[in-house]
Amino acid sequence: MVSSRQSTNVGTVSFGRVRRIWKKYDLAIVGGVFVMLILFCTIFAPLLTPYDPTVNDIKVRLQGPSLLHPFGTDQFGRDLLARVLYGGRPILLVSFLSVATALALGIAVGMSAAYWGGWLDSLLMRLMDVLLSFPSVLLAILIVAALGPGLSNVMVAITVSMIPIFSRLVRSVVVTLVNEDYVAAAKALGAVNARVIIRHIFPNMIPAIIIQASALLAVAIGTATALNFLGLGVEPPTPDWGLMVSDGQKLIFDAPHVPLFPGLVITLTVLSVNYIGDGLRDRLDPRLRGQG
Amino acid sequence: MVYPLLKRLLVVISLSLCWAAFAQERGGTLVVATESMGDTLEPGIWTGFGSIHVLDNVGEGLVKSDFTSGDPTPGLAESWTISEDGLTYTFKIRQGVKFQDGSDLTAEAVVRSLSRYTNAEDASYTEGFYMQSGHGAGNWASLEATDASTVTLVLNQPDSTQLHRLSRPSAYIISSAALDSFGTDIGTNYVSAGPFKLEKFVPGQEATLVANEDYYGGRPYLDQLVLRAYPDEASILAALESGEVTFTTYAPFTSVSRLQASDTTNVEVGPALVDLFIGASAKNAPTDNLDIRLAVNYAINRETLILAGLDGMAAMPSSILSPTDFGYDPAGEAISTYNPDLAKEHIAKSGLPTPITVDLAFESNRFWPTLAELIKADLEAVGFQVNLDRLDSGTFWGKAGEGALQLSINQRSTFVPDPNDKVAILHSVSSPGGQTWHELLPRAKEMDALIDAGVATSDEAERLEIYKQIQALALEEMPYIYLGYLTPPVFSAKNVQGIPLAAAAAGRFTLEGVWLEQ
Repeated sequence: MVSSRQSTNVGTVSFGRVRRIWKKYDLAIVGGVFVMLILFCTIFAPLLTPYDPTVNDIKVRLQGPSLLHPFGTDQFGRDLLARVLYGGRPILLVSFLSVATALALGIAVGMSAAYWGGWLDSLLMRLMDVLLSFPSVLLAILIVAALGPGLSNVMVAITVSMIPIFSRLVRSVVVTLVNEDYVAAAKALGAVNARVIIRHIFPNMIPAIIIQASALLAVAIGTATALNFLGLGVEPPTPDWGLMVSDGQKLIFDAPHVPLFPGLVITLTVLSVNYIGDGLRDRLDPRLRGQG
Repeated sequence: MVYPLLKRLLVVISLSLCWAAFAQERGGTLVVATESMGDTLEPGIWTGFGSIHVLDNVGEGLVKSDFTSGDPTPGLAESWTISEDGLTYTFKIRQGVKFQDGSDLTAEAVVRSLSRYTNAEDASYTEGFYMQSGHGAGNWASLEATDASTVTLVLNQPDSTQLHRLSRPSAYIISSAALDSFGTDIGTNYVSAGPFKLEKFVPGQEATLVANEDYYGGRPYLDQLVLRAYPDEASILAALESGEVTFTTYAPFTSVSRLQASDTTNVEVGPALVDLFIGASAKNAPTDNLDIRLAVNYAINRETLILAGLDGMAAMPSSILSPTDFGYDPAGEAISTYNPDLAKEHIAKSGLPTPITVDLAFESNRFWPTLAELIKADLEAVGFQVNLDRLDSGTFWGKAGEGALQLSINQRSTFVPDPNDKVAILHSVSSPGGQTWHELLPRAKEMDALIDAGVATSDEAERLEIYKQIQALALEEMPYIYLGYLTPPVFSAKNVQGIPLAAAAAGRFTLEGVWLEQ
């Protein structure tokens, strides 16, 4: 006789388990699906739209959504859907690269400060404190203002504003871990510093880093959008969500679709990344695991 | 018995109707949105049009400029005579006029007010940009109060624009008592004899004016005028639509057709009197090359620019003078035109390898970014590589003042209705550097001689011929590429009546004649 439980198996995963996962991580799953969709659309944009996002067609300017132009057209007659599809590329590229770079540098700084301590710890952490004393968006604006506008400088600005956050996190984790018995034992057995760090310390940092990185990815997207909104990032006519909202804001009453669609996509993207981060935190944070 | 009763009833009804008509016109507050408000109202220093709008309503000079007829009209001077040789102006000052602080308007006050910019001993003397501000003091041999009600101005050279120059804000007459009392703080405590009195000034934000009950021209209809700076066009539009603002010239052009059909807002389109142009530096390569400047000129599709960048709110250009300016010559339309083949010919003639890299600077507000994108597309279609340099207003004007720009988009309004106003500031070697370094052009001296000739004569036929030559020379040397003449729309709430359209379009509006329909 087949039990009712066995009759609901989907492959090796029970329907009940799927339902439990969904109940616990519904928003994270929705967020994940949306982010995957956005990534797919921005990467495969040339295949998804026949329109060149940078070519003007004044005859069809400021048209509302239609079958020919599902998101309508902007003030230059450019297809808005095409610009939204292509417009995610600068922001997402800069955001992912910034977070990855800040993570790498933050690990290096935090690990060095915590592992070796002493004057190196003091020096590095005081430098991080100085950077942290600025609001992150303001710091990014100051850096771009000093370096000049451009996407690469936006990436530098966001990276610099995030290094202190990662370095302090890493330092606090490593300071705890270096005092663990197994680390002391490894050292006593003659393990070199590199082996101790790679084999014993780093693996235990991963959950915390993943949680922080996912949270900061949303911040990076927001900051990159803000800098492009201010005209400090990409140069027109390159499509970019932030710049599209900026150029479209005075059309909010007369052609609301122009700022609305890129604004909506920005909001949903940041929200989705935040939900993913919340889900990862619920899954990986030992203080929260088992709750809910 | 019935007849006297009817008579009394008729009188009562008539009086009521008169009162009703009077009540319709008097009172109320007009809230004006501006794109900026300076930190000071010191008229000798340029701090943007927001400050000018305040000064134009609080201040008054010897002369007023009529933007509709183009004529100078009496202000605080009730009359004047000009000597045969055009050098001596004798102004009769209006009697019984008081400044807004109650002190008397006198000939001495006039002399002091007009002389303070060059008198370092004056309590209110302040160094600053545009200190003399075009009212002609550089050409004055003497200015004195010849008696209690007469001021005599003697020029070094005849200047047919001198009367209009005295209508500029820097020539408004300030109370001597206020200058003594406030000194260099006169910029935040401005006192003159205009139709409105400054009640409160919040630097950089807002000015509140109240009706001057003792204005010699009669108390204005409005009780109060509030001029408020908003950060951008979108917020101005939102304020206009919500009723927070009841008059502005700074709402986005994209909203014109919708608001014209609205029940709550009036939109009137002003005359074509604001030049839009690209300044091309004669100092910085590659724009120091005439063929490059001509290539830029012919590369630009002005019809598309006007339609897509300005929502149709402009007329096609000719040269430096617009159709409303005295001396306008339409012949330049054949040169200020779209001809990409000719643009490519000039690029080839320049001998420079393509793509030719140029930097195009523009202000980050209003329609400038849209225009810049359209211009970039046009220039890149003929062989340029354009780097867009988007700057906030302060940085843009700072760099323009330093002569640090290569190509830059700008505008020049008819600040006073005389052609010399535009011509001198854009082409005279006495206004060097700036966007174009025009003093470096091969025929700069010839241009200057024409400019001097244009002000030296008051003969209309002579001036017409001179300004025709000036416009032709401007197109031959092409320090400015003309994009169009703005026809600025003027937005107001439906109950606002009596707006001076031409003056508002020029950015020089005095609202003494405006009233609110009840």
